[in-house]
Amino acid sequence: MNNITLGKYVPYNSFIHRLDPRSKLLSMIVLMVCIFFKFASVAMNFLMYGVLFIFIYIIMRIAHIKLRMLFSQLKAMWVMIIILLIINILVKGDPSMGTIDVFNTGWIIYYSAIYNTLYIVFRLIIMLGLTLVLTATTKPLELTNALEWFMAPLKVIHFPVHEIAMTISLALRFIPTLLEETDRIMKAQASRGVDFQNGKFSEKIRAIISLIVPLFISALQRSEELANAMEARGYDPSAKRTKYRVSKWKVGDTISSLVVLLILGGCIALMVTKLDLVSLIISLFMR
Amino acid sequence: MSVVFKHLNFLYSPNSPLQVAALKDINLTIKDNSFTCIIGHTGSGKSTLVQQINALLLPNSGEVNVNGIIVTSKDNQKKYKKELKKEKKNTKELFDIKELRKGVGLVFQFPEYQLFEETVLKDVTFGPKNFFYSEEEAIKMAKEALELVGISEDLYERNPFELSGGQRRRVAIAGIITLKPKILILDEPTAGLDPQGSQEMMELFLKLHSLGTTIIMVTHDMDNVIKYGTDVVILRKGEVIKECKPYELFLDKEVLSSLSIEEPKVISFAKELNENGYHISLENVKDVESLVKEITKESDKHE
Repeated sequence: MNNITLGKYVPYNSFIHRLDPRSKLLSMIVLMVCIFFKFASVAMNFLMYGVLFIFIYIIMRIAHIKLRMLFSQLKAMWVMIIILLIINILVKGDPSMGTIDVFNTGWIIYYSAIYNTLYIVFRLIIMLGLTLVLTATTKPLELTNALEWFMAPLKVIHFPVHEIAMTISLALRFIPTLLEETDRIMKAQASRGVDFQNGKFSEKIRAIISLIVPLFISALQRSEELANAMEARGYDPSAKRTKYRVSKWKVGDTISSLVVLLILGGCIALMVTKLDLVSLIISLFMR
Repeated sequence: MSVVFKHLNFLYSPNSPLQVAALKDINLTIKDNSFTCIIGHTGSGKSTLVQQINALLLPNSGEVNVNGIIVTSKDNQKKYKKELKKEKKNTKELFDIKELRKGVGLVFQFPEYQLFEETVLKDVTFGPKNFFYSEEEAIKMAKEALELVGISEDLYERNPFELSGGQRRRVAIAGIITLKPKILILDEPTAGLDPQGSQEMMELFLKLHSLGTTIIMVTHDMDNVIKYGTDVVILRKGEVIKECKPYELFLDKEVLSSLSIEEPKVISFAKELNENGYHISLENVKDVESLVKEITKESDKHE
């Protein structure tokens, strides 16, 4: 259970940790948009993924996040990647990129299918990296405050901004608690002879039931206790609230946001002008 | 079944900024048929220590030997296997966790949270079935255990979540002792129970102890330590600082004050009597009744 690192805040005091959560959230969304652009050619796409990955890697280094953390999360995804590849191969692709005739049997695999799968893999890696940077450097509470700030304009149309922010922050707050609880119940059942790793399929189902039922019961109980405790202290979602910690927008935030916006601008420019840097460089060398 | 810890170290979240040394160089022997109490402040490593005995946590270095089955890190297991292969000995039994857990029962804090089946009986048979007992055998074992913990027969087919808190805890404990473990580990078994319930619970463990079970109990309650314990282990910041008989603990002023333990009233009473000329052997003072017995013995001598 301890190898789950997704969404876990890692306390360091780096430049990234000190940034305003609002600028971090904004930067993450902007960079995520960047990875969904389509550029002039296949090689150009891969080049841009590479550039973005290097950028994110540098940020991870600054924030003391190890590359190992990112890849330990990818481990769980290889099944998904294989399924994606199979589906992509079965679907008719773009013949202009070339095809392979497997063993000359007439079964045709489109190159575009393989490219598409690779695109998704790279996008996943970069997206995971981005969310990892955000959640590892920002306390959940700061993050929800940022979310609430961004959604504030929606209050005009009576959208329950505060309620949603509170729900999210409570959900985030209880992730570690639930993991702890899971760990505890797993241990308790393991000492009654449950084997969570090995065994037949039916045994595994039984093992998981012995974990899920107690977990649900305690989660429901906990939520009721929490609701009572909040009400007893006079919590009213519609009341106007002040913040204990007010986040401040500093010079560093402006600079980092500008850098991210520059990257977005560059990506848009490259996409609109359909400039193929790869073939340009190759042709330069060929000359 | 004795439990021997050898140079055991345990770290939480190793190789990360959150790394904490939970246990440091533990060397400890828990005797066969003893009622060993483990005491110490919150966060001193008590629960971590007992989880090693059941291989729920594996030590980072060092080992625990539970009656021939060795709990140690994966790397050490490989080393052992290599050595034993040279001598052509069988290594399978040495690290058999399933066999280990059959012989060692662990009752966690608030064990009622581990209940999940629709009926009391079904939940108690869950353990034996995991250890490949047949349906009939499992039911027979479950009924014995339920009788032992004092759950009446009309409750067997009830949903465990309909029972009262104390009853639920009994059912959960029955689910563990149904396998007749040679070693029973208890992690604050009386937490959250009323005085009546907690005394009944302790009497149950005493009964199991008299039937030949080695009991290892993590506790904060000094009255229980003096009343039921035969040995006591004191932990501080992941280190064993003292291992002794319960009454000896209350003679060691240094340890008492460093742990800010308040001694049981019977012990302070006996100590005060001794200061005023009585010669009561603290060894025999367990609770009010035994104290009274000792006092009458002393008075008879004087007459």
